[in-house]
Amino acid sequence: MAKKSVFLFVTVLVIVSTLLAACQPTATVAPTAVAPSDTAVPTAVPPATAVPQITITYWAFGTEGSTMTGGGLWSDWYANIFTQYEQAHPGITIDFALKGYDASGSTLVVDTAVAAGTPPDIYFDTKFRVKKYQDAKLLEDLTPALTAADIAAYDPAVLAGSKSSSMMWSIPADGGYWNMIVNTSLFDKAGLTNLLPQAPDYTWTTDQFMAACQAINDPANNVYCTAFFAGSTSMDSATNGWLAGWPDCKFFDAAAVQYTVNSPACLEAFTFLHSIYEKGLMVPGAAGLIDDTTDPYWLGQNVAMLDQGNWYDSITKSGVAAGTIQPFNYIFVQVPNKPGAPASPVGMSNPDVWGVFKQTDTAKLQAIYDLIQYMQQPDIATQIAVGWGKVPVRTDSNFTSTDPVVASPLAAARKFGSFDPYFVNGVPCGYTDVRTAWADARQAFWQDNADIKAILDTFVARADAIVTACP
Amino acid sequence: MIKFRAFAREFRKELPGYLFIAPGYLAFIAFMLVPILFAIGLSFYKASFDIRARLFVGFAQYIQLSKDPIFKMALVNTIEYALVIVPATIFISLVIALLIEPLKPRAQAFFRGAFYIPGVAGGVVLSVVYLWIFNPTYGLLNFLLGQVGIKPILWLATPPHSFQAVCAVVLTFTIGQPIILFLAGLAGISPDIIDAATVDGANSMQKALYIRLPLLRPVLLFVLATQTIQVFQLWEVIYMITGGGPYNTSTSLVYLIFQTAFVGSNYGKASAIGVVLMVIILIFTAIQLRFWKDTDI
Repeated sequence: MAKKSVFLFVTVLVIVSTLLAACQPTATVAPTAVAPSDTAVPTAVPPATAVPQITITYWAFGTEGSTMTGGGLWSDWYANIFTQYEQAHPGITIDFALKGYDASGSTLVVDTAVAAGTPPDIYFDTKFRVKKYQDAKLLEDLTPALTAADIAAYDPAVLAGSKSSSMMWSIPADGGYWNMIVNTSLFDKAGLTNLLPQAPDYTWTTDQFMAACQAINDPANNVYCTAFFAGSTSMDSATNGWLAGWPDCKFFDAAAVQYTVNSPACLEAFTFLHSIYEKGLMVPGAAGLIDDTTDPYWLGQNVAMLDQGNWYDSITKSGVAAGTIQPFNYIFVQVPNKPGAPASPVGMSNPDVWGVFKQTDTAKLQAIYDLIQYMQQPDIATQIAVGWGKVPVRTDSNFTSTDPVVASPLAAARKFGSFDPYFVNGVPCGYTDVRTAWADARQAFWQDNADIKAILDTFVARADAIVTACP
Repeated sequence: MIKFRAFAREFRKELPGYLFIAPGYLAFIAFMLVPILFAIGLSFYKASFDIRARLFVGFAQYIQLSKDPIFKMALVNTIEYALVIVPATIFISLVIALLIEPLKPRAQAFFRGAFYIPGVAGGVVLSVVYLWIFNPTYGLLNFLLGQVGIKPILWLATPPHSFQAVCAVVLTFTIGQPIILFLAGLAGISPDIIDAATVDGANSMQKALYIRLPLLRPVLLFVLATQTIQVFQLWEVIYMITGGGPYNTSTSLVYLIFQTAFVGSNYGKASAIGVVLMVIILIFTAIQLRFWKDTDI
């Protein structure tokens, strides 16, 4: 009798649960009234003044009080831009907010809004964080927001990253070019400046790097040559950027739709990186460190060289401005290349892009296209790029900079080319899960006696399975 | 008809009582029962950001979980956390309670407060403190170990140290409440029984083992049940200090639920893991209730 009651209870529970889940409202279907096309919509975009009382919700990555590189608040900058836009487009109201992210690097605020059925209309963030919404088929095609002249003006490699096979799911405003940052104050103090790469190109080989690294490393006095971190997915590009020195190592093969980071060239690259660990030339505990816990090592001058110099430049400037750290000198140099290989190209990834969530109102969708068309113009997009310490990706922006953090990698990119440490020609589906798998692999990598080949093979198998399982 | 009238009369009589408990029950239904049922239902669907666009997949996600090495690792870790932390919590808190109990009331109050404060501070605050303690280069723990000639240990970056580190942090704030409960239980033991044992020649250890401990059985079982459930729901410390790493060796089921739902945006799979966890907790609780039945509470 008791068994029968339990069975009955479980059966009723499952039926009620399934019914409860099934009885939720189903997804609404977005209209296809605004037809995307491969050819750009020219200047036939109707004036926004014809649109009656439309409110566009626009969220950008950041938090209240987020500052722009060079000073000023992002909130003030956006308020100014949007006030001008609203005045020029009666009937349009832009409801703007800066939305931060949690320590896992996920956009929890946006995710929650999407799950609740109240996403913003426009979301501006780095490509990877917008891409996951495209994987879930939640974004609009933005082709109608660009003219033929716009499309021609974009760096084709960067624009390709915003396309999928059938649509343009985002439009990039800027790109993150970076190279290595070196604390020259530490090298000056140790009398080792001659070991650093020299102007004007600041290139060096892995042998030269290793000589400088071993010379500057002094754990007894709490000075380490470099640092890596793998405690989370955050800023994994700081590790991947080192692959620039091995031109044959590709993280992902877009043509074959396969991860190839276990190739012989990549194995050689990671064997070199692991030798830095084995020789005790880096801050210990990489597998448990995240960028936030690594930052103090740089700011406290306990580490001499790091990749993704643009990030460390920004926190140094903030620290000096706030008076929380002692000022010190630094330069930007190329990631070392293996002997015999050409000088390393400059790391380039994480463009900040606009994505638009599915709309049901065609008039509103057109108003959103108009707004993005306005925002992506060279002068405004350049202001966004400069504000993020990045580089505009439109060739007609006539961009120059005297700030070394931008000028150095830009000059190097023009001379040695740029390098996407993850993907060329777009981001494959499921990258959020792949990124988690990559963090696991990197944590296994920063261990004593790590079997590098086995770790990379395991990662590739897991990552390829994620791509294969994509809808 | 007569039965119904009797029921209605009885109901009217008890109505004020029902009204008093109604808010609690309504809150339970709205915020516990319905979400639990919804999560069970959702576990049969493949659902991402837009839950409205979910796809019915039956038991596919449960089958997938049975083959998922990370889920298996999280499951084993969760059970290991329970097997390490729960007995350790009970043992440490019981020993401390037995040491505090003979003290004068004022000293007792001091120690009760001292051991309870970490529980008030919470796992997140303690985790921040422990991040500094466990730091590989400037952390307090490695500094102290260095003073006695032990080489630095990468507490958060190498297995099994990351697992041990999580256990240590959790123990800091889980022992406070059991100490209070054990002290209350010890205070409830009649002094006559202790006196009788003393007259019979029992020493302190014998009194603790053969008199106090058996009489504390109801409190012990309560602490065992609540601590087991608490440890099965371990999340915030892992989130704060190890992120489940290195390579998932310190992850738990609840942390995996968080990762799956809010980082991987796979709400259906996360619900399936949640259901598995719920079943495990139910089984453990049922076993413990079985022991309770035999206890004179």
